[in-house]
Amino acid sequence: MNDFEKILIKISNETGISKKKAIVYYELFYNSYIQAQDMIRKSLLEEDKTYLLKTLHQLRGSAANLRLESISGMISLMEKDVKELNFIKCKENFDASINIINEIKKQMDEYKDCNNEKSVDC
Amino acid sequence: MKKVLIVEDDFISGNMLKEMVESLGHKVIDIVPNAEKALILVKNTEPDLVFMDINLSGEMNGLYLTELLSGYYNIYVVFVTIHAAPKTIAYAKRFGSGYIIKPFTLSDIETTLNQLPDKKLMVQYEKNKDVMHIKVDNSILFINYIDIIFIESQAHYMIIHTKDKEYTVRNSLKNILSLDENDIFVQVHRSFVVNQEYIEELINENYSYYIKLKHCDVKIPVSNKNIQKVKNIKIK
Repeated sequence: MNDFEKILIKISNETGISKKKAIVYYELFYNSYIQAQDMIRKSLLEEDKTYLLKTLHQLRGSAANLRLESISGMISLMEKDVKELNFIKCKENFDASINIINEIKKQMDEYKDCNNEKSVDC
Repeated sequence: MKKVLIVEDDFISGNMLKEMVESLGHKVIDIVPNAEKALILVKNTEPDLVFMDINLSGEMNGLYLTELLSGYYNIYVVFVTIHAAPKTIAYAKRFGSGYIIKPFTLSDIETTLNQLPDKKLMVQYEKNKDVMHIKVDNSILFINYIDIIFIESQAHYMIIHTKDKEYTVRNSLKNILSLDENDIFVQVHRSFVVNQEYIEELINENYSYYIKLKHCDVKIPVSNKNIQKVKNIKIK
């Protein structure tokens, strides 16, 4: 069982939302995080504190509800960086968060493949 | 079954909450991302409970929207927040509502909905269509609509002019008009709303229109796009 599957079981138990529907939310979150990437990087360069805090806060809310603790923890650090005007550190944490979310996506795709094909290896 | 409105600008959190509320057998009227849409829906649908995100899209945040709603409507507001900051807790206590923290669970939602008292027991803010409730500092003023002569907008504030007094409050003309169920007021200019009962005369001076009001020496400008609307008013 990979980490994503553990998260999936947790969200399903705590919210009553089906795993199938939860996966839809994870895909939405992944897409919105990746889509927000360009604007976040641009705002980091421009040191746009207002935009960054607003966007990060919203992403953290989604991540927390999706039980993506590693991501919400990382976003929390980024919010702290922005408040301290440490945009370089924030960029480093953002890059790290992208790596984490890509790993989650990889695990999610593996889970989906397993469950779609009902492979004996799964 | 309770009628629930969700005010949340985070699509995922809003929809998760909706699914959870519906799975408990309650009705979700809608999910709206900002205060302006929330005000219209509250007016039209009168929900039993509003789940309110604090950081909203638009100019008005969830805390201020709650202050505004509590002055007009007989509903409960439960804040949805990612951390229980002292300010949030203070607001929740002050307005008699609670809060849930992200990540929320089905059990959190169920407890919140089950603890909702019967509406009949609530007497704190009985809705009265003839009275405007205005929050000023730590109190709520009750002003009869018929006593308001006109309302003037200045940036994020409004000045409410009555026969005896002026009140400066943080609100917008758009919100006031959305709450005016008896259609007492008419917007005559971007910055002015007047009580139709007090219109005495429409004056044309040098190709500009003004309204002269009863009990008041101020001339209210009428913008071109509102002239016909004013002309159609039956002056009493």
